[in-house]
Amino acid sequence: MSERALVAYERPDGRYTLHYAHRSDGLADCLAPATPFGGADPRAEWAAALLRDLLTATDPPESVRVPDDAVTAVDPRPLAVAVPWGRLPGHVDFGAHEALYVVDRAFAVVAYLAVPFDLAPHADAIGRASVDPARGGVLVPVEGSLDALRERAAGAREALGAAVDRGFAPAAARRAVRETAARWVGPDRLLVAECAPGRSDAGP
Amino acid sequence: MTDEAADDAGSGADEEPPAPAPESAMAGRGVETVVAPTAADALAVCERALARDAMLTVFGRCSVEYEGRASSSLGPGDRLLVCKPDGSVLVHTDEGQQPVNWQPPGCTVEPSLVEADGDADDGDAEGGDSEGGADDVEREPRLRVRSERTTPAERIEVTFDRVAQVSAYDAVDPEDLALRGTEADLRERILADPDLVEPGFTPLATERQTPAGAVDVYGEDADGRTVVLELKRRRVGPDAVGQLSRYVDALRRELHEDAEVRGVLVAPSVTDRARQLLAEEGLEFVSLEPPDDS
Repeated sequence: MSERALVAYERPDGRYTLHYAHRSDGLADCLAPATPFGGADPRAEWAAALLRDLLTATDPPESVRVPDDAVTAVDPRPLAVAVPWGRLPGHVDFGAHEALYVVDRAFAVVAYLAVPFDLAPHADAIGRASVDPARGGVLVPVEGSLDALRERAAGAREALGAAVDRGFAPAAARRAVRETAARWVGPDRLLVAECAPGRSDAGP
Repeated sequence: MTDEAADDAGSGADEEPPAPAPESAMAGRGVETVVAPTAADALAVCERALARDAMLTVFGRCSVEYEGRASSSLGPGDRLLVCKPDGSVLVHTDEGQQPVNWQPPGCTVEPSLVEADGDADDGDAEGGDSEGGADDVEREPRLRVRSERTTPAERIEVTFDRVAQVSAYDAVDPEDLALRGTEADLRERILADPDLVEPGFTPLATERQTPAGAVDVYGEDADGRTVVLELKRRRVGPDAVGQLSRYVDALRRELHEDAEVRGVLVAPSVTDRARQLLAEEGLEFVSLEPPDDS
């Protein structure tokens, strides 16, 4: 699993502005109202002002003014604005993004681990090395340690990949990934990105 | 910790009445342990441990039932049950390095109380003479820890006649401690000394965009071939190899047709499956750790 992450900032209208972070190390601890993208000089007001504008924008700005010397954990340039809650999972690139961080209006941060449905790296029988992001995945809320949940997900995927190599159908294994995650936190708390439209969920 | 707990449990015997149950419990610094708990107290420790992804150990007299690809049964004996945060479950006796039964990572672990006859108990046991004879002990609810997985369907049930000690640890592997440096630290280490990757490696860009996402470090080797580095601060599995493979494929499509692109995974270590996948994909691995943050 990679360390890339998406960060979703809640807007006053209940939708989200979505940003990219190249590394998710310590991300949850460095996002604050004065430094909403993390890492910026707390005295620099550009970051808070920029996010304020983005949280009411109806279209992605054509350009975003960021100081040349700014170093932030989250890319201040938005990937998307005004994203409804239910469409957040569709923006996750499963196989590249490790996590989605949801930042509410009070700047409380909830992390979701991105677990791909596709088991290609874990099963020779699938015949590919990399995850097909179009197969979708599930976002699992992190209640304790992200590291522990990451290991737990890796263990489950490893076991299901081995099952595929012993003859278990890949499509059934993908469903088992979802069912396993549902047992951890309850099905109602998962955010699910279904298989991309037009793609059959059968086959490897 | 255990010594302190044992002291707590036993020290009152000389001058004071035996310590009540709460005195045999201690908590703090990521450890919760209770000596000679009731089944209900042991259940509470188990539930708290599982809820926070802690490492759970239960030592006591227990029987073990396994059902799955085969079935087996172990009669009452003193054994150590270990439940790891990744879902692994191990049952150890006082002999040998191998567990007498186990479940792999990814299993669902559920503790519960059962009546002596084995039926699940939704409430407390019936009251009775608190002094308790052998019959009463037999009737007391027991702690049962069930581990289950669906593919293949396998189940282990460990039922404790009595629990000598139950402990939960917010464990951190020493390897993780040694790798506390971040990927940013690892990147800085490589940029400061590119020969750590290989002699003649020249970094050209960081976080370079590709159609499959941004690569950590983009550069050239001594022969002018494009090199993509994917950096990880911890031991990595096949998903990281798949990710690197995507970047390399995307760059090959983006660059001219006969461009040679090498993909190198830089991490402290890789799993066996990841190493196999690297070889199959023609990708490479360099073992390198983030610098200590001391």
